[in-house]
Amino acid sequence: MKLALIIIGLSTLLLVGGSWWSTSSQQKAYEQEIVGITSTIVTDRSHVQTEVDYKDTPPVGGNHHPVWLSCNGDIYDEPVVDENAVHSLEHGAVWITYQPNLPVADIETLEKKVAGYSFISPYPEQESPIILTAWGVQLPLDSADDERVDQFLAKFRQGPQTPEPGATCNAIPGGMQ
Amino acid sequence: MSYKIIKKQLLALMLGVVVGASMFLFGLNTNLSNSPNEAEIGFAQDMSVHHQQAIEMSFLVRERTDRQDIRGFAFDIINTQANQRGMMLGWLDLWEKPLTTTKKPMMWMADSMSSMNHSQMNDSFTSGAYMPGMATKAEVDQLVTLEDKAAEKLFLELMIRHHQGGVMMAEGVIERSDTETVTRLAQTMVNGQQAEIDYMNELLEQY
Repeated sequence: MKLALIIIGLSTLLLVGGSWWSTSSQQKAYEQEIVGITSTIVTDRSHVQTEVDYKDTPPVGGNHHPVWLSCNGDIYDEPVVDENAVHSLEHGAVWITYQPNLPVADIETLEKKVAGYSFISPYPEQESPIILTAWGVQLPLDSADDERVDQFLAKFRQGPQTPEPGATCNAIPGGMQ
Repeated sequence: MSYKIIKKQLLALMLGVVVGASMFLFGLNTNLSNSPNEAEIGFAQDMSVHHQQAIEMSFLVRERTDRQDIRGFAFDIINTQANQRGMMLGWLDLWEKPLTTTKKPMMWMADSMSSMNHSQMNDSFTSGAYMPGMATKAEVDQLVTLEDKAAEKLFLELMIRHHQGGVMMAEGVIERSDTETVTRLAQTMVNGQQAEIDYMNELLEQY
């Protein structure tokens, strides 16, 4: 009888503990906070051929041009068109932008971090030296060596908030006007 | 009542508590490793077939027109829906369920289908097609025979209807599932395909 009670007690502990552990570790992976992130719920996501008045600089989402910007590790040396870039965010890309006067060494550090589902471009109008943007989320930074660059890339390239999971970052073959 | 019987009852009660508590705790877990319900399995099986037809029609129109916006839009559908098919087939693989079913399609939504009136049924099912919004074989065959403007127009008409059916199926599984991985993807299908329906309607106005 005693043995039975011990077995029951231990198995209860195992079940409760195991279940708690699997739930909490899952939450950690999903909800790991990156200090300084702002998030917005974006509902507009239509294809438009007109200019869009975005409220964030750079934009974090919204209506966009039917053509997305190639976002497979692309390095753009000149500012890109917001309406195309927002379409890339919809496909799950992280967009790294910087003020054009950012030291060259910092720009190079960031360019090396750009790979699949990410792209980088200068953005003269932005207020922070460096800004990381994915659909609905944004993180302003001062330094390219900040560990949050990697954290943001790890979490938000094809992140859970991506409006169109599975969409490609490859450019449309043959291009498009 | 003897002490022995009371002990037995106590044991049974404690066992019940353990089983109950573990069912409760695992029931709260809403990840993909839970055993799926019939709607989740049915949705993954049927929607991957539904997506496959969207991919097929998109390839067809790309071969039949030079119009860049239609070709680009079709390219987007091909990639997105092919990858989403892979996600759904991956769930079935993890669940150890057949990727292709011999069951009648849409049975997992049969309860709400049977409560539809006749015109709602006709709106969602094309006669001869076996899932909401799907094109019939005759319609796909017709697309094969067309070129340029005629092909573009038929593609848009078929794909608008296809997406409408897709939205309905995705909404169907959202109502029936507590698995976050499933409902999250389904919700992106509802929002995304609705946005694409609006875009296609705008394109269609030009014909």
